[in-house]
Amino acid sequence: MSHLEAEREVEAFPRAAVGRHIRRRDHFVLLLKQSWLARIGVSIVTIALFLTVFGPYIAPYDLIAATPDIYESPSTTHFFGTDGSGFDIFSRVIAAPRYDVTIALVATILSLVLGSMLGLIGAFFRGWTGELLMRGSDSVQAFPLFVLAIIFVIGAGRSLINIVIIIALLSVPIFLRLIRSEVLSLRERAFVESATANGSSRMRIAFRHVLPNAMVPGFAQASITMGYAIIIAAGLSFLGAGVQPPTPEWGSMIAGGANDIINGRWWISIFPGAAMALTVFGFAIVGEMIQTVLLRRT
Amino acid sequence: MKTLILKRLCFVLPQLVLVAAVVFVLLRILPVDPVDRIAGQFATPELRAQVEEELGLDRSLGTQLGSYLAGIFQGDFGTSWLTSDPVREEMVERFPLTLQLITLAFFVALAIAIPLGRASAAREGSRVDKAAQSYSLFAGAQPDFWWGLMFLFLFFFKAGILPAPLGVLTPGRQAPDEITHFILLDALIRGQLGVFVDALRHLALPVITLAFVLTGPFTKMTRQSVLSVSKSEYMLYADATGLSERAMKRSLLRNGLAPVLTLAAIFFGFLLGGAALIETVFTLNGLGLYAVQRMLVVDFPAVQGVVVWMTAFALLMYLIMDLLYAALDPRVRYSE
Amino acid sequence: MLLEVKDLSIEYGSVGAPNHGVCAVSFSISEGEIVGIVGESGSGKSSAMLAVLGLTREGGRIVNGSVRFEGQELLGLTREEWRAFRGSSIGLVTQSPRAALNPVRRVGEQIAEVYRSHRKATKAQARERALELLRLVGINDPERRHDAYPHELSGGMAQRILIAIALSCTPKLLIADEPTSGLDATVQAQVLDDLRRVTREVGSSLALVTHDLGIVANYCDRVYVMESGEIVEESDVESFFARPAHPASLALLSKQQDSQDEALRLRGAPLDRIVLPSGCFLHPRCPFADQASGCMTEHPPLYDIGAGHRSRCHRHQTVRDALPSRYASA
Repeated sequence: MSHLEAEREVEAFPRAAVGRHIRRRDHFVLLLKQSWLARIGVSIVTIALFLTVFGPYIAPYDLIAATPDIYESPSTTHFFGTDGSGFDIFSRVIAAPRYDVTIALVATILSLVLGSMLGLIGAFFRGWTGELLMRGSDSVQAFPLFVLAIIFVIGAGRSLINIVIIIALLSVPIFLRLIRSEVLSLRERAFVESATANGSSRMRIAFRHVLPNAMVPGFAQASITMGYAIIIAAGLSFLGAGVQPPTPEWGSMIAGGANDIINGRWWISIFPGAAMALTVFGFAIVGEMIQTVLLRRT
Repeated sequence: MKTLILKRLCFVLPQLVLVAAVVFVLLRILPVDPVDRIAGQFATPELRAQVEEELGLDRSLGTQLGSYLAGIFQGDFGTSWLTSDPVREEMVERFPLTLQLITLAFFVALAIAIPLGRASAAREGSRVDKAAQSYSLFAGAQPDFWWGLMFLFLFFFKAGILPAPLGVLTPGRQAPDEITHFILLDALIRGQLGVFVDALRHLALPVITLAFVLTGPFTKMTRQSVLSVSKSEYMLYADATGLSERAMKRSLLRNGLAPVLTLAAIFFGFLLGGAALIETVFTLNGLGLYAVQRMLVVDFPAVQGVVVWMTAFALLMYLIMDLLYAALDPRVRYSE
Repeated sequence: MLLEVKDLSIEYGSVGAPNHGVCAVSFSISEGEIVGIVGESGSGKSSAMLAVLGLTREGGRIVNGSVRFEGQELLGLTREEWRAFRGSSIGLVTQSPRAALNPVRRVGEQIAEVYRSHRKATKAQARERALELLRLVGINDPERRHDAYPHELSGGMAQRILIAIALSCTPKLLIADEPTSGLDATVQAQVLDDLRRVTREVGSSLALVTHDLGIVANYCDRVYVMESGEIVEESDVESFFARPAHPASLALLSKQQDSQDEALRLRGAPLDRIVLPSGCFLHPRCPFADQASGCMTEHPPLYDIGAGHRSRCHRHQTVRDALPSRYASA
């Protein structure tokens, strides 16, 4: 007899026509076989990560040295055209993940780690410590976070490190809540109780048994947060409050072409923006995939 | 209901004070030095001391904070270091534009997302559903400022049907005399239809851009929520009692809407700060653009003012949504 | 016959490898009768009763069979015909009554809404009807309860609301699916007494789905036992309790009386019915299963063992003799 569940998840992907006891890795592969959306997402993320490492090396032109061609529209010599300084846009677009993706990746990992620690504390110490943590993270939500990021980066100096720090801090509450609620529900499960009966210490249970299981949805959220982190980092530089030109970075490149676009020189902003939009979409898809795989476990 | 409001208000005030204190202290411990900027790097020590005194920076941090908080409670946000005008007046001038922008974007986004989410949930697993889900995943993960530029290119440069991104009115057109400070409302009240249409045309692209990005999460949430209601035990039972089609649909919408509202409130607060980007793209002189510009010239009172103002407004939105939720769902009312 | 169900089959899950929820079930209910449908949870009894209303739970579909109500075939009705039929000709009371009520509407409104879906009535008339029904099902101060929300009600109270909804259009048949699960013993008896009283008052038949043989003994005229998606025994109540003729019935009885007698118990929990066992569906769990009688190879028919008593067991004679006489007076 199948039973109704009050809460149902969103599924962007087809239901696997297989038994319930399928391993997560196999399910992931199955998803890739069945869904073109999944294939697109994984391809995008793979390319983005590849460019993060190799982008600057395979760029055909120097990234911050002007060519004599100014405002040239896309051609076979300059695939994506050139901007007002004569920079080759294609080279800079494929080199940019070195900054955008790295910032987002480091910030996401930082906030995942910090958020998980705090989430664990919030779940296991439910006295005033936990209460304080939750109230604190609630208060952060009421902040105009983007304005706070602008204030911080301009005030502390527009360095990569500062950008990473603020993006990481802003994402901590999401992970805190997620990991906390996950840990709370896992704690109820039988295997934790059996470990308690064996007399393991509280922290050991937390680290050995609960955290590893609670982290998996954390990874799904991390992929989604990656996307947002890229948008925030680029948004900051778009406003002049982030990575500074002529560093090849999507946000500042978009800003550099913002005035040209209403004069018809569309290529200067559109290519970096499209690259970024695709990347963010890719990470969102992968996050959704991980969630789908997770929710199929029974 | 009354106790619910009171309880929430008890939370709101400390939160507001906390936010004001955090941003106040943050601005002063960050390495940026306003005296440097205002007096100039090569100013004499005497001039520096004079500027410091004028800005009130010679007093201890605690005293400064105390008088700032005391001011806020009387509605005084201090004077701008850039223009020497009261910050409150500057904000009152700019905030309505931001609010109009976001509110319109919300209505447009909800008007698209709710039917789309419902259609998607009603045909779960179909092509329509897959397409709607892919769309919402896509739209939810897009940089709005870049889409703003894209739309500008298409609708201004290519099609030429919408105006250049230079403010909310065509340069040279007189704004209506202010009554509510909301330009669309003022134009209507004054009967200046030309101004109304002009402002609407200028707001069209920024609104569409924001709405596009918002439809992502809103559609997803509507679908999820409607789906969970339609698979609930009580909808099955309603079906088993032969409840009329109309009553079924009404339950589906009413029960499914509450979570969407909560999400909307969170996004509203989120977007207040995020509007800075769209306002920059379209040169809309709203509160977000104001915050960015003033931070670049270290106008601390202005920046503090914006953060406190936006937080207060976001908290107000949460409160309103909580009350709406409670009106929709009696369980909240009683469990409080 | 008021209700006549023939060869009803329901499947769940994928079309390729379906879970056989209900397999070719036939039963009937005549006017004024109280019929018990018993079986352990997972035996398919709730699915079968829901299917009488043309409904299945998520992922389920009715693949075969016929449901006749007052001679009219129901399977094949249009959406609108079904809507008009449900609630007005057959009323349903489900288990977990609080989950079955819309959490954000007042219970009185929910009764009135069902009434107005089937009968032409003004809001005021529907409200009057709701209050009248609340009184009928034994609720004190109906005016106050009318305005309550489901989460404010006790389980027994919520169950009475469902009974009121089910009876709002005086249906000819009331299906009560585990109407007393989750209620404590005194409330259980009250609800059942009320249920029997009101069905008699309005002249309805009652199908009582339960896993509790005590309820069957006290309230029912006839009984069907379901197991593994099939009807495995049918009988009038006296004959059934005198000499039950199926291992599933014995298992229910021994569970009822907290017997420690392993020889009467079924082993383990109900199996997924994706791949049906050869022979008797129950043989992997059955203490009586026996190679020589064909339990593993031949699917048993419903053997007629006299006076309308039928059992789907090759070894029904052995089974009938297995029950120590001291149990036989439940």
